[in-house]
Amino acid sequence: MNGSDHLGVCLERPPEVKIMAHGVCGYPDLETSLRVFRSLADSGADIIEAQLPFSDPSADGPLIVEANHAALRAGAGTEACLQMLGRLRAEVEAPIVVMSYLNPLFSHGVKRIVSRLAAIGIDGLIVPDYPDDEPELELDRIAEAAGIALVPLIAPTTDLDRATRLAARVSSPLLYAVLRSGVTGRATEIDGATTERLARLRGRTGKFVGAGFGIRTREQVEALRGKADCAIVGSAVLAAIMAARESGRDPAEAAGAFIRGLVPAASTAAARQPGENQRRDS
Amino acid sequence: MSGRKEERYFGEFGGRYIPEILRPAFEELEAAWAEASGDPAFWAEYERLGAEYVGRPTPLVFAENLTKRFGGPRLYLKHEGLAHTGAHKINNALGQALLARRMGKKRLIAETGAGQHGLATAAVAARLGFECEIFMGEVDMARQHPNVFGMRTFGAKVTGVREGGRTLTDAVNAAFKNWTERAEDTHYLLGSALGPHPYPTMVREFQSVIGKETRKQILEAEARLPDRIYACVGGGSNSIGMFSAFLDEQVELVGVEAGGRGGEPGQHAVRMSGSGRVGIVQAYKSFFLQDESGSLRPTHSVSAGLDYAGIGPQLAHLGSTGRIRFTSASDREVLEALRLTARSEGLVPALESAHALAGAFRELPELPPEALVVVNVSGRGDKDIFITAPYLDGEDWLAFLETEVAAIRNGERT
Repeated sequence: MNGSDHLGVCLERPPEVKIMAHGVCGYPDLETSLRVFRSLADSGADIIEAQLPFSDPSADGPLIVEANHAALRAGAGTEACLQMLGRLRAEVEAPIVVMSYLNPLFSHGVKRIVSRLAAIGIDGLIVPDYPDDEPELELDRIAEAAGIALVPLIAPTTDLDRATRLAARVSSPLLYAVLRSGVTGRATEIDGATTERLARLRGRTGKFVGAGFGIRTREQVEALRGKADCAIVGSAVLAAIMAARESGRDPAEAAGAFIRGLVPAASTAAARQPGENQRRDS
Repeated sequence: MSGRKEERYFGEFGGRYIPEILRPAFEELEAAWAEASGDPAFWAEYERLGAEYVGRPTPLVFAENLTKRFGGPRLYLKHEGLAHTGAHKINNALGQALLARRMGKKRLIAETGAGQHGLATAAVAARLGFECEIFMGEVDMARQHPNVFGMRTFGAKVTGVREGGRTLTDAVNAAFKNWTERAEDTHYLLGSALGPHPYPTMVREFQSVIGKETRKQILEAEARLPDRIYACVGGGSNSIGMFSAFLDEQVELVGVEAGGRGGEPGQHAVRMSGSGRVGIVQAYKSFFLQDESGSLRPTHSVSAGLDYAGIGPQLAHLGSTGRIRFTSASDREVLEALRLTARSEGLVPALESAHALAGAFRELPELPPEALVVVNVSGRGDKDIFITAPYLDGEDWLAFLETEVAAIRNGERT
């Protein structure tokens, strides 16, 4: 099973609203970030989103920017992050989606890094500064050939026709719907208009819809029920990690506790145990 | 038109690597620019305000004493420092503000490094009736406080940026982020000939007035084109504005980058004649000073305006093809060039512009006496007084500051 299919199988399973939990590779250091990701998966995150740190994370708010810079200061270059991701892959069942800005990929060589990610067993890729009309990099084609889901970002300003075209360009089963304008990390009110937009996006494209930017409470996750398939949580996890570090608690445990607080009680534990072993054998 | 590669790229450089959220803003900007740039009435207004408000044309000054000192080549200085607010930056600020007005925008935002672009934008915003917010790295705010004060005097809000190295790169990121929150009524008035399409083209066109005037002035003065032109290169708006009028001529074009304290990573901003690699950062493809994982490296220059890890895509292309030759000048050479120019010609260049002079001074003695050289002095040096004074005036400057601080504390200055 390739990465895209693995992601699809996960999205088809219960619970109704899955959690994709974000962390920055190498923040606060490589070993701790590995423990954070493991803890997120153990605590009910259905999909792990692992960001490669970059100096200029242009779509991210202050917390994620700070974590990126701290990771870089702590020596989390691409090579070290890939090694950490290899270890993570061996330990967790959940799909792993790598989030990266374009330049770390371009700098490594797009073809080379995609094949390395595929070899590790990474399932998807999110690249916020890779538009659909700069084709010469061929990241879309290269990811496709490697079976890695290139998850399109759909903005509140993207009309439904364009969203449908963006969705149809890739075989990724998942779309990343950005809930509001601005950067990551500020609170977002998920109102009726927003959830209707998500539902229409899901209906028109036939894809699973993940919704992110500003999700931090169980109520927000609940508001997505019936409208979207996945809540994407980023800055709030980091805030929990940062608070734990300040008070001398374990960042990995704090990240896990935060995720447990988001997941409706009924859907934890048993419901989230994979029914069968979906892990690919490669 | 937005899909056509040839409009977005200069050779392999340029492009428009924007997040999905900014697509409508860019489509609107691109359409407005295509329409306005073809409208003679738009340019007539730009020229009218250029003459009446900016003070154009700026003079092309024959540097008689420097010419004598270097023993031959006739040296001319294009004195952009006499443009209103003290540098070439206002040419672009005025042009984009007029475009923003045409688009019905109410608010201008901008990044600034040295503060000159922020100052120009704030002035034009006041003149044309825009709300204005300027993003500036906290490190730059600390070293260019007179410009912060200037921007506030024009009624602009100056927002300090605390991310990253807290310099120009971080200010660009902050401005883009602010734009993603508020594109409907806001125009991002990017200050250099870089960033995603159409900025590199648009900013070059607004700055091309420098080259067009110079061409006319040198023909009037010498009845021929210069043999060589020097300009400093940070992002590159003054240089591409000057060079664009001479690209098809037999004129050697020399870009001078910030050599800083030396060649070690983090000590300079030499992208073209140094260790820059091709990358895609801040939504455009060009040469960037970056580490092996593709993160931007910190840069250093005595001049905040050149302290930037990337370079405009057209300059990257013209550097790659060899049409522009790149060299660099160290902080120390720059301060010496500033002192020499001030004492020889009664003209204090900005630290940025002093790079172009330093590059020229190093090479002038090699040129034959009949050679004709132009240096673009992109700005004047008043703004740098807190950087240059300790170097040029030493203890006296320190004593003055101490007196002033004491006087303010004692209530003698209010």
